[in-house]
Amino acid sequence: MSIPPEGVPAGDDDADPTGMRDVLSSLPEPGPMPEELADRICASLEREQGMRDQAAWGATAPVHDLSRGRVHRRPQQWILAAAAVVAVGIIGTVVFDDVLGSGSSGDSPAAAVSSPESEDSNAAQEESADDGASEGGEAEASAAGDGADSVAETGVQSIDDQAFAVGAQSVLEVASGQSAQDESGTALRLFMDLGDVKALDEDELESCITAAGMGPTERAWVGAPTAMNGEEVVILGSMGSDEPHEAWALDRTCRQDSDAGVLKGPVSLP
Amino acid sequence: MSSHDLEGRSDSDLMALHRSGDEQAFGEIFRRHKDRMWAVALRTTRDPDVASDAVQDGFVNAFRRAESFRGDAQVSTWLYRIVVNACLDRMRRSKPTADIADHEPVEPRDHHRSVEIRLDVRAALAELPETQRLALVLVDMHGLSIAETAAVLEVAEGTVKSRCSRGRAALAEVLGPG
Repeated sequence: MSIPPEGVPAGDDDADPTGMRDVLSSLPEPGPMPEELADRICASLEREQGMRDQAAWGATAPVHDLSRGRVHRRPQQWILAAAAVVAVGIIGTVVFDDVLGSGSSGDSPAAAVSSPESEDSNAAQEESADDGASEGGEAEASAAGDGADSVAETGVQSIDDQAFAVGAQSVLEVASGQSAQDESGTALRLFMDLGDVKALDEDELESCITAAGMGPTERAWVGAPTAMNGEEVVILGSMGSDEPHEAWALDRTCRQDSDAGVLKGPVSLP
Repeated sequence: MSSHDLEGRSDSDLMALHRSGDEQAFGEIFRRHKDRMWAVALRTTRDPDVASDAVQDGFVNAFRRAESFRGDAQVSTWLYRIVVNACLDRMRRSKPTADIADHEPVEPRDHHRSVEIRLDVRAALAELPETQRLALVLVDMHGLSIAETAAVLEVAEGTVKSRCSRGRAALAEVLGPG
């Protein structure tokens, strides 16, 4: 059998003395894409669309709420720095808790960071992460290196407003279904487990809104319990398109007690 | 823009709409090409599970990389390239777990002999070097032109012709009488 060497044109496109072209073209089609797969891909594309919309919103978001004197910046400009600040606090808390044995609940980010399950999850996320992951990794490494200096600071009140805003926004996005647990900020997801974030139910939300000192409004409220910097809190926020994007951290008891304390906020979201 | 309005649009128009922010345009592209991309993924990977992941990767990548579509090729060619690359990536990361024959559509009137031949062809195809197999899948099984296949595989047209010729010859030798 004579086989032309690689790279040498075989001549006429249609020339096929072997007849194999006809054999191959007569093989039946594999059939349509399975419905389950099509649905899965549609869901992925919808998530992509959601993230694109969000990115577009971030790029065109007006500066608002100037009376509070807070500065709004594009997340891309400071998200890594802010995330690193939160990481310092969280990792510092892990060290603090480990050393003093104060412990934190199993669903806190601090606990999740140190759990094997979370490590598996993070590894899986890193495997599929885009180029941004390496930047996040640098933030993580930097935070890990500096964490021991921050053991004295715990609690949500010790978190810088910008870092709090980044963390709160991620929690609220996951709680509201705007992003999946593995689609939140690249840097943030490396050290903050959002897998357990679940939105408050209506009664809990109403109680926490009251606790935040806000009355019934047209705002689109979202709330979810989480832990920040070792402190168990409820993150409450408003993220509708025509309203101030703000977040509060409240004592977790706000879900049942509308007199629960406001620990932080309101803080403008990025 | 409603999905009904999109049905009459060309693929290139849909890509332009998608790039300009239309939320429905890429869904229409997906609807139009999903079966062909599934077929090429299945034929490339020969594993339904790997093909599923690869075709999903491919469409998500295409969604994200819409800006890289310059319009100098057909959208389908561009999609083939992305999906084939996704398949190659996936294949390098996993081993086959199932045979493509598991996914063959049921054909009640099929004859035993023709099924045997198909399985032989597929088995022989699976034995070919990846480069030749990809060329045959695209040219002979999906009907792409030599130029389109060259664009998908990012090689010269002459290389595609050569790979097809060598692949067919090898198949003929395996499947020939005796």
